[in-house]
Amino acid sequence: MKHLLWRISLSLILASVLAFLALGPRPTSSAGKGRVRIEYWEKWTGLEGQQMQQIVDAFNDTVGKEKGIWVDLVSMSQIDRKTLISTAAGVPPDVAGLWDTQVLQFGSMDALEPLESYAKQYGLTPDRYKPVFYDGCKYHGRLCALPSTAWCVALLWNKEIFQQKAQKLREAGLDPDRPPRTIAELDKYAAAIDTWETGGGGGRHLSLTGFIPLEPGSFTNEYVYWFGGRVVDPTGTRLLFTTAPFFATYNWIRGYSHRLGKDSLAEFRSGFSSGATGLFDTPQNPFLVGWNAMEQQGPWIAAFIEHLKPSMNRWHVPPDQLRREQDFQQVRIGMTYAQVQALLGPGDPLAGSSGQSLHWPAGIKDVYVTFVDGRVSSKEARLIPARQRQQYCQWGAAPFPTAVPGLSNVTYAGMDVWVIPRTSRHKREAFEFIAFASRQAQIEKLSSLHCNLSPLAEESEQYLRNHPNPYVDVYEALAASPNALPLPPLSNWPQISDELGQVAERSYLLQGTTAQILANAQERAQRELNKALNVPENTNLDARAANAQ
Amino acid sequence: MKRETHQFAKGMAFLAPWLIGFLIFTVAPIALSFYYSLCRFSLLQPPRFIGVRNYADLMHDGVFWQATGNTFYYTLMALPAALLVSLGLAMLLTVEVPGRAVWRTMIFMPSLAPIVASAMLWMWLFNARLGLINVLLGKIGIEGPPWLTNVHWALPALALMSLWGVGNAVVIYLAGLQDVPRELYEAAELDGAGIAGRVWHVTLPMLSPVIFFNLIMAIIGALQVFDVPYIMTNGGPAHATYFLSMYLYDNAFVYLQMGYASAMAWIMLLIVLALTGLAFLSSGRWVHYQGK
Repeated sequence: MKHLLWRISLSLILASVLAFLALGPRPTSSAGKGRVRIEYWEKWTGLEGQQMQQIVDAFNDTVGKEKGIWVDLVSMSQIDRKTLISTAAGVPPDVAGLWDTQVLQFGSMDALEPLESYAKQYGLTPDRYKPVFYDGCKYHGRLCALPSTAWCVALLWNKEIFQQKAQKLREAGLDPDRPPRTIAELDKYAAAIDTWETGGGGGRHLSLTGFIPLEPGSFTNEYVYWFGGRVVDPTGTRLLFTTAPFFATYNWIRGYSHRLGKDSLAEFRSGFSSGATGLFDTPQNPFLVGWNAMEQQGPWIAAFIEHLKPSMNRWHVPPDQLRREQDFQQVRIGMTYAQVQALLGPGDPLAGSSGQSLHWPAGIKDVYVTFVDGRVSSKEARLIPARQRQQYCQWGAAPFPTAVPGLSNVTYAGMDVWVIPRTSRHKREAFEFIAFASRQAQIEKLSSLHCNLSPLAEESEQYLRNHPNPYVDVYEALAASPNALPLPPLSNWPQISDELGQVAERSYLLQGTTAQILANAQERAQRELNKALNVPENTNLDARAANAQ
Repeated sequence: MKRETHQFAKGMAFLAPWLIGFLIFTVAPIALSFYYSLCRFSLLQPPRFIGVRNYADLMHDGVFWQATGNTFYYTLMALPAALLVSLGLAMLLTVEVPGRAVWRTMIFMPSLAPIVASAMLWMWLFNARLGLINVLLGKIGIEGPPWLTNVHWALPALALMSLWGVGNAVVIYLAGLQDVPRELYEAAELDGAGIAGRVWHVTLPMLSPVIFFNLIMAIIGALQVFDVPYIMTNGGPAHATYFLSMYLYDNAFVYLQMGYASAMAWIMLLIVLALTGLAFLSSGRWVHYQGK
């Protein structure tokens, strides 16, 4: 009896397993059948992921169809860690969309496929790209990646606050109609704008700041660039934390805590989303709320402004056009001309449309309606050219001020990249996709959709005109500047960067002197760098650097 | 004998799926992590044996000691607070009051909330300018601190927030309280014990095995705290809320120093073992089991 039960149990389990294998779930999509399937992992999720999917779809429908390649896009968070683990396990994706930091990290471990020969074959030569981005894709002279979208940082300034504080700014000898151009000027502007209020308990609290070096805090570790410094020497072996530009940078950060009080700053910053967590893409962003008049940001901020505080893009739009933009949303397919006219007013005929299409100015957009048989058949709102949009903005973007006379257009530039892991199974096909996505039309489309910059040396007129960031010209010029600087060429940059982050926090919290903080950080970070470079202990780095030069 | 062997084989066959999984997914990684702790290992390159160098480096690593200190400090604050609050709440919930089931549900519900949602909620509560806590403190004339951006307040704020999840412990205490024999309370009452006396001489001794269980779980939980500070403060300001588990994670997955992180994991395991061992050693003095 027991034997029987035992056999029945085992048979049932076995039957269940076989039934599951035979009848269980199967991939439902037959798309791309018969083609070489490329697995493409990308960090962009949500809307950004969908936008990348448009490029993937375009590839699958054209080049992919012609050459028998099908790309499967897999959007994911923490792509750096997942790519790392899958690469270590020998089952990486064929293409991965990483950050520039990983080019150095993965490149130093020889985990990325060199792309020079592929790139040359497809005409993706260095002159096609802005130098800062192409160079940032190399590790020790070897091309390990190609840029997808790019960015750099600029100074954002709130024109309305500058106007509200015009008198104080003028009293300080400053022009309220332009942003600061030097660090000394930036400090003066900030001091003139800083505003205090008295709380319920009688204590003084900051209610508005001109500028806070640690806000939003994303690029604090590269501030030294604007002070004429570099993080590491040209040999890439010795950190320069104890050089004059570093002292100047972190003394400057301390200066704000001295002037405003570290506790007052901590209290004020704790009201921001970025204060504790570094998040800037929220309605608690102090620049968007109007609590901070200037901050350093990348081009993507325009998308967040439009999403979180669209009024900042429509500050000087005439009221009738502002109303028209809102009323345009009420225009429905099938409405009569009279109904549309009642909403939007008399429109202007579109050239060449034989009176069937009309358009109206609506502030930062032009709105278009097409009629068939006297009724609305389609409608569309298009952004006016970026430069024209600037006149309506409550905010402006300009090169971040520098501390060194004669040094201008300094920026920190970063990018997203495509890489092919060394153990990828379909390298040639993977590069076919990268080459397609690197075409000017595709790269500009993606950059615009993501509100980032094009890494290419030349931008099309259409891209500059239609980009969602009204100040795209400012950002593109900065990225093309010879003073655009990439990440320091360090394979363990995440670790060094965290060290520098602590230096900034300790400086702002006035924990020790700048000299002490920098000396401690230099010692720790240099030790880590030596480890990463396999430099034996007690190596004379001065002699090594001299020899290298 | 043959029959016994046969039975054993059958038992092992049924056990095999779990046993194989346990060996592959638990025992092997633990053993490998010990080996890696003696290596330089970045995941992408083969591990290179370096002996106890990682352990020696840890002893001279200031951030490691700061993270360890923060972890202990947090444990010292969060552990007693969680034990006292959960026990107190459980006792209050045994009192016959209208809507007792609703109160119990309300206290348990926060522990069901996803940790990210809870963290976001508490970030708002701790907001120095607009947060409910400081607004309420302001109503009684106290100026609340900038909880999460002040080096002195950030860690206590996280310990305070940890009380949000005491619902699980409360349920366990409640179950334990149901098991305390009524006659013991009656006997104590006849002997002239008041409420405090009954709690001290009856409830706490009878509940001591449950307290002990919750203590062990709380020690392990507090020493492994990661998600809440990762979301709410990311270790700041100036590493004031940087915990051992966060430093371990950064070393493993951000700095790609898997060997160093493995060494840290083993030290963390030893700390947990030592503290749990201490708790077990001391339990003979204060944990009372019924019938013993």
